[in-house]
Amino acid sequence: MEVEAGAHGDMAAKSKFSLPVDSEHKAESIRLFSFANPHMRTFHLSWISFFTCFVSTFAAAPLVPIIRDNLNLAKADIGNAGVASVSGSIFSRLAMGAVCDLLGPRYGCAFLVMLSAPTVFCMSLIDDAAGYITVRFLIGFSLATFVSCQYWMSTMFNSKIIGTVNGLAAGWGNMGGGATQLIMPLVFHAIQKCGSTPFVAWRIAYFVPGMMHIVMGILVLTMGQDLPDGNLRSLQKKGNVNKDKFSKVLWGAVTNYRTWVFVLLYGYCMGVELTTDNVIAEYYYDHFHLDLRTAGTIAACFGMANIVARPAGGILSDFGARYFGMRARLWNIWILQTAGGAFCLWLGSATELPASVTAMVLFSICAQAACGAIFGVAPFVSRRSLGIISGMTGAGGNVGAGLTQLLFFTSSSYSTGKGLQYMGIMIMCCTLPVALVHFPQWGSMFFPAKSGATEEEYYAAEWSEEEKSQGLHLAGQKFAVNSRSERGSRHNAVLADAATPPNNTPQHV
Amino acid sequence: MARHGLVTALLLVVLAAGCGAPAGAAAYLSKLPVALDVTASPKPGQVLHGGEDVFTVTWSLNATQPAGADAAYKSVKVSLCYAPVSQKEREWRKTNDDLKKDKTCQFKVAQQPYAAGSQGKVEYRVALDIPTATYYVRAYALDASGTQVAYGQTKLADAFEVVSITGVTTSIKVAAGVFSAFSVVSLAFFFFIENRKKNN
Repeated sequence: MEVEAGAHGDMAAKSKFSLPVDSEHKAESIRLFSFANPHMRTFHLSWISFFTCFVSTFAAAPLVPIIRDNLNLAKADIGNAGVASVSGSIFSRLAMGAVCDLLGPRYGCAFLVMLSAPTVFCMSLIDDAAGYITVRFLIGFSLATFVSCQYWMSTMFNSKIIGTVNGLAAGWGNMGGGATQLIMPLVFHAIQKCGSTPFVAWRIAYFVPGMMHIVMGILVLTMGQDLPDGNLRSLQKKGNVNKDKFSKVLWGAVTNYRTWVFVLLYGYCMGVELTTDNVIAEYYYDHFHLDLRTAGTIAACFGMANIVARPAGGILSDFGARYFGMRARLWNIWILQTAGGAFCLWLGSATELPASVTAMVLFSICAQAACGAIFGVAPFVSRRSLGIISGMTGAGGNVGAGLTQLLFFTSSSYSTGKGLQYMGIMIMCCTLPVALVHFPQWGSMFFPAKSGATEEEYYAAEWSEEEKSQGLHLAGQKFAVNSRSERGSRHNAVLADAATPPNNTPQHV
Repeated sequence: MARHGLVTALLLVVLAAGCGAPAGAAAYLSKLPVALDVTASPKPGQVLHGGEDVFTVTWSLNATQPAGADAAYKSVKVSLCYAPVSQKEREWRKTNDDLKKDKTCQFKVAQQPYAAGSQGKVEYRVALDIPTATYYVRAYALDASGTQVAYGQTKLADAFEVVSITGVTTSIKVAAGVFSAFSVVSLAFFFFIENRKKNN
């Protein structure tokens, strides 16, 4: 991996980085087991901070069998707390973008992680249902580290690999929801062994995520830097001064129907993943009469699958696109997410433990791969409004989480198992709209591309004639040319220029 | 690979959990004779505090039982059971006729050998892990294999209340306060130090 030719004569500066960098000193490759300053150190600080926030947000889930007795919770209280834990971040994620613009991602991350540490410690002090719901809501705000994580990566890594980098960081961060199901019962058990009674032990156990917050916050502040060159002031001068009008960007995102389809879809892959993180340990404890640690271990396998499943979804998406273009990406999403729904239905219906665990693992792999696959398509929906569309899609995940918990796991009129079955059915139904996503230049699941439609037209259509006359659309046109690979391999070979006959590639799935 | 090891470990855990369940004869509450008279010292509606209050449970064979009915009774297990008001909207405390699946009586008060012809008695301090709820007392007569063969319980109308410990000890309060303050203060410290450095 050599430094690109045409470097602007600052070879001396570039040699001080351990990874090859571009003209902005953003890394062009990633070396996972390195902690070298600044790129890889940022990668690790960033994903571990996000991981920590997932650990603290879902730390209550494996301990619910103890907490519900200590605080005298009813099923509705537990369900509402679960909804609350994912709702806070809908708003905090939106605000975090602005915070990163103002203070930089390093302070954005550190502020959030260290200011949410007191909320985690508060969990040890509550003694009723209202307190429980409130504190879980407040801790949930910390999930906005997703935004600081992705933002920070984009200042450190070149756009050629930013997809892979962000996918890895997001997947490994989401893994915290699984790790916490292992960590918390183990810590609880260890504290019990030291002589504490259950109602005291779970409160002491909550100090572990709280301390993780403080440690990560201090590490980010002392070891992190905003830019490869470490200079925050220049970031505030040149970067993220959005030359584009926010209202236009928002309008572009909101009026594109594909945005809403992906908001819905993400709600039923990421959303159900968050919901399952909240309910699955309690389900195994109650339904199969397992002890806390065994239930937690099984529940952990759900979230830990993220380590490979989410990146795998993106890899499958890229692989399919190489041969069949965008249509393969869309089919990939539909297959993975529908299969996930089917496995969720099986999970809720299974009466024997081995079948149930098998269903759960397959469900987790499919749902998480679907998350990765969706973000494999999201960058192509719009160039102008990419940030807002990504943000809205992410928010859709949390809305889906809150909604499914409210619908299926809060009411006493049906059991958790029945709730899982209904959720599986709803996943399968809510994945159908992906068939509606149609790109004129690439086609959709069932229809081929319109003859004569081009990528340039599609991306230029985001700008008005007046804006085009000022040349504002030109940056997007470069992307349009690169995105021609979404037509699939047969057409990349055949195409000489943009105006070509429609593709007749048979889709066999 | 780590993932392969994880899957293997998971399968072992699942099999162990599945095989670990003790094999005993199924007992159904509706089929058991109400052969024991059970009384508990708390008055109806009395509030007991976890870790502090003590109450007494006594049991004896019901006078209407035929002679020799208690030949199979080897031990008596006394439990605290949730009253229906505490089971509402809490499916993890649901009553099931199959005693293997029943979740009504989750807390053991005592288990003693059965002494025929005499009254059994136990004094019990409310444990620290009994949750806040309304309870009555049930005593099962167990045979040699540990299966329930008869039972008796206090009247539901005489149910009493337990208020659990909160679990919030003083040291937890202090530690939470100290760590929270440390977090906020160190953040402010770093922020101001760096701002001063930037402006100098």
